[in-house]
Amino acid sequence: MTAPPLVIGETVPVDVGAEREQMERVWGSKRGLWGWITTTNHKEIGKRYITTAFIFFLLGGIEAAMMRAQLSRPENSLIGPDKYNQIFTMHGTTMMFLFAVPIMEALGLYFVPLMVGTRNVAFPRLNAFGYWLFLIGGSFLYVQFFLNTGPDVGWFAYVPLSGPAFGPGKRADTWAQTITFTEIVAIVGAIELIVTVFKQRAVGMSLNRIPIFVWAMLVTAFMIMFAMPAVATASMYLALDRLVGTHFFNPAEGGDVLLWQHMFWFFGHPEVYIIFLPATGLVSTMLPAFTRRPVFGYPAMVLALISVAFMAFGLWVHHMFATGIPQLAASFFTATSTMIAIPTGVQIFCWLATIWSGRPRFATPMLFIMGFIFLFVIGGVTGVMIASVPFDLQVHDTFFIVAHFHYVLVGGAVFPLFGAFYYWFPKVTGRMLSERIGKWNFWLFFIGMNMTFFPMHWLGFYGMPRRVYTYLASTGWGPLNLLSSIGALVIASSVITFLVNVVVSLRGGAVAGDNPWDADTLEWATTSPPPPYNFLHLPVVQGRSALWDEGDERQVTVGTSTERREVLLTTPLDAQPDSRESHPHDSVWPLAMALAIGVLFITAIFTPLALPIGGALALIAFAGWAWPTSQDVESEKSDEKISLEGA
Amino acid sequence: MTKRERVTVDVTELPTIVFGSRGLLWWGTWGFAVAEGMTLFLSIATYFYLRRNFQTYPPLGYPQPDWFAPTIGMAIFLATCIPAYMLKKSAVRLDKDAATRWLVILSVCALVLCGVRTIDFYALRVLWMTSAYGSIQWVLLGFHGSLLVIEAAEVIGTAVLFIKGPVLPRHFPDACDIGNYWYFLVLSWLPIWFIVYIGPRIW
Repeated sequence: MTAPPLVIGETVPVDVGAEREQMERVWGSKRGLWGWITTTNHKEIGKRYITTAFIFFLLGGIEAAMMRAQLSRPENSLIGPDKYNQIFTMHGTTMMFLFAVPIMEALGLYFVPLMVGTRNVAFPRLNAFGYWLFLIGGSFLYVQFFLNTGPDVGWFAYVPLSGPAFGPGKRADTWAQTITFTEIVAIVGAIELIVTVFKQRAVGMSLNRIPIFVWAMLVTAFMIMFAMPAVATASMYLALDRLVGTHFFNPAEGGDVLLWQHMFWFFGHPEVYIIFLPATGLVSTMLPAFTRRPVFGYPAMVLALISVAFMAFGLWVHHMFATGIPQLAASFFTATSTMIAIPTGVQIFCWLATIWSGRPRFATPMLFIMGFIFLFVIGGVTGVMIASVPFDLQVHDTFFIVAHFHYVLVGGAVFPLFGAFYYWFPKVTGRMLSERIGKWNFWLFFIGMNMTFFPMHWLGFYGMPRRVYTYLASTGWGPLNLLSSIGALVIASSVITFLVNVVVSLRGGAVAGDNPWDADTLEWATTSPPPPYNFLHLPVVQGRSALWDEGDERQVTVGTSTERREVLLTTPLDAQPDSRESHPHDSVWPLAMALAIGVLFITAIFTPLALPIGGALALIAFAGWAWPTSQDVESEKSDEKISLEGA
Repeated sequence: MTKRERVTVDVTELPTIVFGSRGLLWWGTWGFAVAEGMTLFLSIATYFYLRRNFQTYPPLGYPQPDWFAPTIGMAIFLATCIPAYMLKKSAVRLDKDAATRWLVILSVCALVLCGVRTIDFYALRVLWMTSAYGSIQWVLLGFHGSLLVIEAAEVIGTAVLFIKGPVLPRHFPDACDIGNYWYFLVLSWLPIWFIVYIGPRIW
């Protein structure tokens, strides 16, 4: 028998077992393989995304280790020049396109719906499609690599090296198509996040109350929408030049090689912030739990995020100082590159103020946060140094640059990410990661990171160029390279330590409970791991620190359907309840669509027939995706309440 | 449950079908339009970047593109805003018959415009592989043309659904958003038409 509906003012009874069972039936996926491939639950998709991106991180790490092994001594013959070219290209492409951006978006797709208090992302089938396409695109790159057709033109694939004249075979095509895959995936994820944040927040979570990680993901999603089309367009020009004989980058026919650099870096520099801003969001969201106070300067933090996003689009030319651009332009881009340190500095000072005025507790996530601040400041300072044209011209394309961007990306993004793994692992799995192993993990990583990358500053000063597979003993670069390679081994041992921690903790880690850190954001208001519907009753938010501000009693919403999948839509600014919208069922069509697009993109490298064949397959998948099933008809047969207001 | 919960908001009476920016699809549609618009914007930027490499435009030895047929095509494109508008109106009225009728008309328009696009390519009077000038002219048309083809598939698919399939209440806001996207398609064609066919006579 169904319990009578709850009414306003009523306290929710303790025994809600029947209601939970009903919600499990409605929101749960089928068991077995079919359920696994058809699920559209954001947490299942998010876990896969995170796991897949982490596997790519491991692969990229193995490639880094191979490079360090080759460079550990002068005139080493472990890896030849051709394979070395492929390995450094694979390393960069993997880390930027298959690890860093996807894992940040994946964290957003897993946690944003929980943090804003809703049941799923806005377009769950699109979310599933994005994951499958990511898997196909990444697998394609590695299959090609193992077939000795991996790209060998660097992660930014400069023309003319990657063009038809100097890049025969299919290696550069592989790179260009991998980029097309990943850009579509990123844009799809960005749209899901934007719509989820604007329309599906819990009642009362006005824009000035959303967690900073959600702000960071929102800002990042907008950046993706404007940055990714640049590289998608550029990689398409490159593919057209190579495959059908256009002349975008051919100066002999009116093309321009610098066009590639402009297009690539118009994407490439925002890309750094697309990776870094979510990481700052992670830090700002974790910090309150370990300092026992809300983050200092919330409005300043949010404004800093937004201003970084705007500025990030105005400094791409600092990657091109060595191309002989006009002096006025160089001065402008020096100024903008230096200026972006201001909002970034605001964030750093806000974190320091939070720690200073709080009661810091140095659990493993907090150690990673401290490591992040230390390492990122080093990377940021060298960034300001190379914003200056004369200095940049001295160290351009040397190991100094390698040192700089690894401090920014490993220190600025991977450290917060590992902190986030420790912090949210209990929520995702229900088990705590071991603190003891975690501390080993942190210190090995911190020491290894500095051992590996700090000597590279000197190597750069001594003139060692990037992307060389070996060097002569007479250069004197041997000892510092050896030190750097030993550091890489220490990092590898740290990552292995982390993997051991995951395995050990999954088997026998301490049971986490709902909120093991006594944190303040909404994902901790539900069980660990969360059920398919996230919250039995959607929360009502009363302050910026949702769980700390609610006191002893949680206010909740009732009235969304328990008979069908339904989400509550709220107004974009104030999060006032606005409508209830039915939510799609699980479906195999997102996978079918990803396969069709995969066939289209991959075969396009080899034959123009790809277009009609892939197009026809995509059309079939589209029809299957959009055509209402009997389940759809069933769930909408009840009387819908239609509102024409705002139409 | 670790904390006592008290009901303070009841959303039972809220509508389940809404139109415009109150619904999710509206946001998704414009999200894709923004990303696609950015792609078109960058292609236009490429056009002007490459333009600097030629002293005359079109480059010496290339004829001016034919402007007449594409301008007629442009007028047809603009005229299709009328069925798009009527589709939106009928969807908002929840009038299935009218919405079906306008979807069919818009489908025919989409097919006609796909044909017109073929003529547009001929009117360029240059091939993509002859120079960077030809390449960017073809790509501008091709980018927008691919959006047109995809949208044609969506319009025709939705028309078939309205004729043959189970039309659910939520399909009316969907039809409305097709009209919105159509406006984007028409508006984004205006600058491309001008740059590709009229521009070489000006700069």
